[in-house]
Amino acid sequence: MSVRRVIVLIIFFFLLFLGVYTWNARTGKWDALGANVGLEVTGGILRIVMLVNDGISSTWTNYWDLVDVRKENDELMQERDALLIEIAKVREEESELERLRSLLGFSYPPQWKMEGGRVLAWRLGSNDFLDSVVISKGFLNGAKTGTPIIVPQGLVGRVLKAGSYTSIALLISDPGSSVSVVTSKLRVHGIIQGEGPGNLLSMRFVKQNEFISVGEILVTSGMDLSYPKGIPVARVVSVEFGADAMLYIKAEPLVAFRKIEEVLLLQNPFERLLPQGSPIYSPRPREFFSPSKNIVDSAVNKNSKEAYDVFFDDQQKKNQELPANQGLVEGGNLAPPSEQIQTRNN
Amino acid sequence: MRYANFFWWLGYVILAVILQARVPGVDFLLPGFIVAMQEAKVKQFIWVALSFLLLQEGMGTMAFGAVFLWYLTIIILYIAGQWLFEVESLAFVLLLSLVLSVSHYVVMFLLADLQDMYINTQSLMDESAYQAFVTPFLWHLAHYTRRGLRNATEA
Repeated sequence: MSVRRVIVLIIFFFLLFLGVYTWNARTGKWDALGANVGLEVTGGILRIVMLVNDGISSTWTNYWDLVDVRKENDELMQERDALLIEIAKVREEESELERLRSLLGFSYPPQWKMEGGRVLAWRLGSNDFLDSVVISKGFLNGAKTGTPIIVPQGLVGRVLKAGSYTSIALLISDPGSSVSVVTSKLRVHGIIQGEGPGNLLSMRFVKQNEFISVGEILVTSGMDLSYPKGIPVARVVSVEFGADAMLYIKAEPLVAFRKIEEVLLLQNPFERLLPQGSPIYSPRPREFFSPSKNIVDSAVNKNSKEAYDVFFDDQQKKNQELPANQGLVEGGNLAPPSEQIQTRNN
Repeated sequence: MRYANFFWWLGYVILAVILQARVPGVDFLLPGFIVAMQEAKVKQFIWVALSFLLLQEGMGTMAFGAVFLWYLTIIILYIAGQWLFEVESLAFVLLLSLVLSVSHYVVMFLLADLQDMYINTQSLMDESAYQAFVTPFLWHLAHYTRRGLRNATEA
């Protein structure tokens, strides 16, 4: 092949690439074709492999499982008894909650339907740049783009790309994922963002005069219209002062993403009536717009941090002095919000 | 020969998908793509290239472009290599794998930046290194099973 011919070929392919790239950016047709053909074929292969794998491994493990079955059965019976007592207590509290709701005229939040699915694989191939999982549900059986995915421990992520029977879900640990959350006790709002696989999550946009304690559970707020309210997301592990009047909060996810095998997909019953939720992938902000991540270590901030700690201790002491029915139910070591506001105004 | 050829490619795709599910971020279809180029059968190459492109684009999360551009650099490097090396030799494939892992890093970085994605340069570098390590092994396996298939059908 002559040099001239090679150069012509390179120019031709480069122009073809630019043409297809811009056409796809405008219409998204190539991506849709890829999801419906490439992803489906991959999903089909992985399903067959999983089926064969399950068949072989279940025959083997069934035999070994029988060895310890009696001991395990006794333990499970004890656990069942404890759970039955727990269920009875929860039922009682639930009926009380319903009575109080009806007394106050609160409307009951709509129930999201659940659909089970299986994890087929994690990141697949060189073109899968995000922290994601491949699941065995597509837009024909319950996984539309944007569908939230959970496991019993907490939030996993949202469907990013849906084929007909296979889809790819973006995990909340990906830096492009952001979820609107609220702390479980003092109801402080913020946005939780991933920091990459294996790293802690970051809670952003929380002002320094808010009160968040280490160990608090963050749950979805439902404000972004993408997730139902109250799904556990992460546990706070550190709170630090930032250079821009914000708190820098680190939280560990409640779900071990690499260990999940089955997931639940949540179907919003009023999906068509509600406005569109937040984008599934939040693009990286340009450098000059991104907020500073510097944690301030100046004397001023040390003082304000000490003041914050003193204030928090003071709150806890006051809360302990309160009658039991006025403190917060869970843990009982934090003051109610009204008491917080009153103290702050003083 | 036609059926044997079809089933060989089908088997190769299944193996590559299984391996890709085990090792994230590495393209296991690439050695097959190199084999298809080495065999120089235009019709077969077009089918293989289109199928692999569609598969990789489909199972990936980036918008169209990265795989196309990367496979394009493979074709260009292969044509350039033809003038200087014996393309069916292991030395050429080793060298090509090294250059391809560098081009993998550059193409993925450029396309991710173009799509405003967060880039973890360390993991991208690790995956490019794995790619350089894995490609010659799988190419060797594919190359020799193809030769065995050819000999068996001719006999």
